[in-house]
Amino acid sequence: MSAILHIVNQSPFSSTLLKQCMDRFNNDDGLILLEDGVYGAMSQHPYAQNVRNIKRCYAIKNDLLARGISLDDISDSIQVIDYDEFVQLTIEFPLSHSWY
Amino acid sequence: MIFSLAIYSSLSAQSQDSAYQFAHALLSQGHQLYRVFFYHDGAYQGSFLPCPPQDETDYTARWQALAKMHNIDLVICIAAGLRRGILDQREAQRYEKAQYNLADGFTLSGLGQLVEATVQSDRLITFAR
Amino acid sequence: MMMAAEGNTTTMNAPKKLLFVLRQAPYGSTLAKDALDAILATSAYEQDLSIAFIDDGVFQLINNQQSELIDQKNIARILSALPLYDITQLFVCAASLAERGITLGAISEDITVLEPEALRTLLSQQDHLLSF
Repeated sequence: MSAILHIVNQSPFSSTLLKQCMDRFNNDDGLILLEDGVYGAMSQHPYAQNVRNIKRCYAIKNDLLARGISLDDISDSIQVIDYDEFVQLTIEFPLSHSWY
Repeated sequence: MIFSLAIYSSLSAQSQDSAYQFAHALLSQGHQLYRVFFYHDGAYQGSFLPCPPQDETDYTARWQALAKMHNIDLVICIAAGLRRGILDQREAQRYEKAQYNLADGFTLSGLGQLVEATVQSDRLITFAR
Repeated sequence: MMMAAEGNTTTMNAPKKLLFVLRQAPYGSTLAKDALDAILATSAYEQDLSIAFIDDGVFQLINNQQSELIDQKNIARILSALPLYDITQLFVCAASLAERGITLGAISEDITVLEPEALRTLLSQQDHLLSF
């Protein structure tokens, strides 16, 4: 069993992509929110509680800040990362899957 | 570590930029980028004709510069390219078109290049839509 | 940089486990067809190739598609030809079928239906996931 880094780039307010991803989530998998996917780091969407329960959840810093999402407003469980850290995570996780 | 990237998104999608940011970051960390394979609407990246306003990013030029600096294999799927009007000189002759538009540094080749890149790389990262 | 010719398998090492994850409905964009083209190309490379239909990807499996009415190649017909390419490891997500009210009688029978846990296991046992 290899851990998977799931990469999600759509808003949970307009698509069920984030839910579809999390339905296939193993305990040791990781989640990266990028592009419009970073709206998934907000606390008001339907799957916010599920996101909070993910042990290793990340959001791309520049995608958050570009959209005016304050880093103070996102869940403490989400780690804010840059692209260097994104690359490191794709090395740490043997597999990746892009949800789009 | 050896990476390849698969890019399926058109010029209007932010994932074009994400793919570039990822490529730039992995190269700056000393990893190898074996191939960038442009498929589906990603094929539009291969044309040198787009003229973005001066204060906006020229995505094709940016890939060309990165490829030149790091000797990266930028491959446009030939079937996806032909459907979208991305031709090199040879294909233009084959299809009797008066013009061709494949940007320097890109090559047109078959889907086997995606398979081969996947098999030869430790990681395949997909950027789409 | 080395460039293998189309269909050239001599540069390959041990077969890799490659899973194509197909999530797109068949005709709204060409992505479903493009994924199948990539799968057929991969079949020439003697890899350990399998396909998982999940989410709207399960709509590709529905019988009686009349795609000629919208001037598109028939995805179901292409899928039915996969065994000719020795592509036989086909999986479909049970939850995606149930969510859409699709019964097994409405889809191709040469496919393994996976409950969520088995699907998660399948995803985690690959060398690469190809996301379409």
